[in-house]
Amino acid sequence: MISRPTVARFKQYLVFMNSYADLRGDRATEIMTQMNGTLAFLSAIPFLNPARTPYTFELLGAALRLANFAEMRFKQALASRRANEYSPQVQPMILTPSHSSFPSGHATEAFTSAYVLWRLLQTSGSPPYGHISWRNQLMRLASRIAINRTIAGVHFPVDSAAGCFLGIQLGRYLWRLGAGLPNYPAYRFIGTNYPWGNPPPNDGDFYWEVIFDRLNLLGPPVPYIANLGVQPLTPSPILRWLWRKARSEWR
Amino acid sequence: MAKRKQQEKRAGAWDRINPYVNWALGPGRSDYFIPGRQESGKERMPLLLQLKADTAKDFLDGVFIKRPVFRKRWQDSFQVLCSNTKPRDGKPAVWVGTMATQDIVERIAGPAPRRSVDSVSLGRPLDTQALGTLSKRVVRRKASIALATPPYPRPVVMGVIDDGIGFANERFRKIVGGVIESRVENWWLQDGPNPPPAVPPFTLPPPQAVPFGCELYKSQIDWTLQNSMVDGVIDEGLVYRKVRLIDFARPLAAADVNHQSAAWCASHGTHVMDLACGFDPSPPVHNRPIMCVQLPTRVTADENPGELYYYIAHGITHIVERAQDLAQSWGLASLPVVINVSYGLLADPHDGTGFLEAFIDHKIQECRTRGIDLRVVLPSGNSYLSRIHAQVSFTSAAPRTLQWHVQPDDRTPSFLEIWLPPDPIAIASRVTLRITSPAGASWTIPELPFSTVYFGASPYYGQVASSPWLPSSRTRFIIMLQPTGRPDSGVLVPELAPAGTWKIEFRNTGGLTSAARHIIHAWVRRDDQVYGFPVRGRQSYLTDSLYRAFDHAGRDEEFDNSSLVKRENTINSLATGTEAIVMGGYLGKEGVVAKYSAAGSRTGMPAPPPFPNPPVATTSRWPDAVAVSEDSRVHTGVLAAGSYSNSRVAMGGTSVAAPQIARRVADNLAMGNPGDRQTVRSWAVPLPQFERSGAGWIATVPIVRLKRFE
Repeated sequence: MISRPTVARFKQYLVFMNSYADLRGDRATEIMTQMNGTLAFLSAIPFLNPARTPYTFELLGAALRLANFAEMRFKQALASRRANEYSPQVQPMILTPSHSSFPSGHATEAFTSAYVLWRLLQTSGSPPYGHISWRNQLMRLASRIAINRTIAGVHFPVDSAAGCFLGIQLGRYLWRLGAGLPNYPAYRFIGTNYPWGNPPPNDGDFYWEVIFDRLNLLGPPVPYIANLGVQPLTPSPILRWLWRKARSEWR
Repeated sequence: MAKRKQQEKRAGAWDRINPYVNWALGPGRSDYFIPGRQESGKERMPLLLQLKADTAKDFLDGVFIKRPVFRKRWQDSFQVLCSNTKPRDGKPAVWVGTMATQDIVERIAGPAPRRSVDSVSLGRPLDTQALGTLSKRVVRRKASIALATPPYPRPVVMGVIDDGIGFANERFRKIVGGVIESRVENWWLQDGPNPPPAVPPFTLPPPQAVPFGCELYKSQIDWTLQNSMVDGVIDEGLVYRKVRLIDFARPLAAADVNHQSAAWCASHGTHVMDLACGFDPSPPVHNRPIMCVQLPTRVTADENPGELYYYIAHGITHIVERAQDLAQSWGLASLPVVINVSYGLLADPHDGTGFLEAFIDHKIQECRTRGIDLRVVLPSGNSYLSRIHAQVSFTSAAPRTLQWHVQPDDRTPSFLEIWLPPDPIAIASRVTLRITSPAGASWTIPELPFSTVYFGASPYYGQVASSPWLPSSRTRFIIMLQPTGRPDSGVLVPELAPAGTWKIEFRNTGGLTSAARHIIHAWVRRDDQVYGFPVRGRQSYLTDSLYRAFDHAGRDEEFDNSSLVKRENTINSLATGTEAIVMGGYLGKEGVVAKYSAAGSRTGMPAPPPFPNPPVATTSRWPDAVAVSEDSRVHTGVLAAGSYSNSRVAMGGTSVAAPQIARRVADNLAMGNPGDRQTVRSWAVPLPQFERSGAGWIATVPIVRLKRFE
């Protein structure tokens, strides 16, 4: 479940659009390359290759379709204005997509694929992939992709936060289905409680590690994420099959 | 030619001392005190004052102030940065800094305090959030008792004063017993919040003691590094957010500088600091501690009016004092300090008496009497081909005309400084200027002390002020123009100056010959923007019909001819003192001086060797030597650290030559050697054009062992 911040709060978050715009010169090429999808960047980290890991690509395709399906419906329901609807000075450097701002689609897709990849690597049992640095690098890249959208002027940091939340949850959902686990922990993102005006990391900016740690019960509680208890999963034999095939590519 | 009626107003008292202050309080006020950045009515102006040592105490005590409450406030407003009682030139000086309120500013120009003042420079104001309260004068630390002298190689503190210093970069860390520590002993964010936020690391001991901005000590930096780890990797973006170097949540006025240098992949300060003192974290380097000062972003962005002297002077003093604190804590009598300041300016007298060059000389001398080895390394500047300098001399009775091209859509003010030679016998007016605007209006100003002529009708779009320069008995004319393009909203410019060709005609009205000692120098103040910063100013430049920018083959012409516009004497105006080590740049592969590497004087200089300080008061010294600033003609820059760990970027300019030599100077000092200008010159192999290459080129070991060319 996701709820959105208030209009007044979105207006306050405009300050981030102004500050992050300074980095446009630095990130322009990345932003342009990431406009239509982020898989190319994420596949630079693990050894992904269509000839070598075809099932992983199939699985990632499924993950991205899931992410897109979910995020678009959230965007439709939450109907949040884009930054450039609040001020004429945002002037995004790329075309603002026609769907609503909150949550961020790029963030959702990036974190879903990052999470799925991480779990694939981790559960493969191959020694190097058990190291925590794989998770870190994948998540940092997903975070950078999300922040690039703020620099470009098409998302607020809170959009990326919600996208990160949704992406991790969807990735976890997909993983647990694929692993044949019976349930998954559900959470709620309370947009109105997303912070503002305090020292970092409570200044309203996007910090992936805070959200990730909270969702994995590694970090302190935050006011904008609440438990919804454990939800059951309907088994999906076809996903289990796909997951096993993909995982075996990493052995 | 149409002639406007001259309007002469009684020049404000500040015109006797520094016409820029008048400009900042008058026509340039809305650009200097940007609305919303400081409390209206309580604005504070940073000033760096050079006082005559014999009357300095009276000045600081405010003996001429009758009212006790005001006198107390006066006393609390000034901080002594340097007290040089044994100067080389025999003129002891005391340097003080102040963030002065308006009434203090007006009082300084009063007849009694003015007598103690040699020069005053204006700094760019800080936001209210970075301003400290008026603090008492710093109590002079007692000389410490002689403590242990360490064996060689002894520790040397490397100081870096710059912008965009990514001090959490791996190159400035060490791994001690498996624990990541910082090598940065002290970091001062000069435009940080004051008082600092009530959260760690600022709340951790030791407490802060800086007049503006906020600082962190090593223990606090170490805490921040340890507490910004994610999966065992330090998230440097998070570190910089916690220490407020990066702050995307900070609200900004429309006209302010929106730039966070450390958030870019390449930042000037990180690159320079890597060249000066970057080491891999393992094996740990213990005896090259680092102290860095992050200059206010606005000062780097946009310097007119109001330059960086005040902040750099504070930075140098701060580093020296913190280094001596560190020495005491290590049980040592003192620690040598090498400070690299990779900044350059264009205007000012270039004769060693300018604001910061004189401060650096005095500070190094003061440190010498205190038993501290201080070395300052500066770049020679990148303005060799920028057409910002002209030299006018009278070969006949005919007047000479110089053209000053002021660019359109220049959103910052433009300034041209014309410096007359020293005047041993006071002739009333040696030169009369006639300034003609692109629209055809003209004004005349003779060389009277402190007079001002305004351009146009009120509100004036420009003015020319004639003002004495006491430290070397010269007179300068300063032509000041409002922006030619409307700045962003929030900065109200009542009247724009016309863009185009301004003509300045020099008429010899008494006493000047064609001798080298009678050359009149003109410099344009710096108005361009540093890499990464948003475009606001556009550099104006000088020209005349004889200037050749390109040779017959289309290459940049690197030699002067009989044009008034000269490439010599374009050297960094901070770098013409006697003590600082000044480095130019050369191309590593081709072995020639980089085409932008600026020059000292050529005219009127004896042929080298021996290597002189300029014998004539109006000539500028040469750089000491050149170091690699470009790997080759096509491989621009040299490689060193980008902002974030393990990134590499190429950056060029004389800014990158200086820190390479700062590194070698520190190594030299560590072995007990002098590490001074003479030492640096002894490393050099001669190159042509001594006024640019000094003693020649110096080979340095590249930071990054990557062969960019065969």
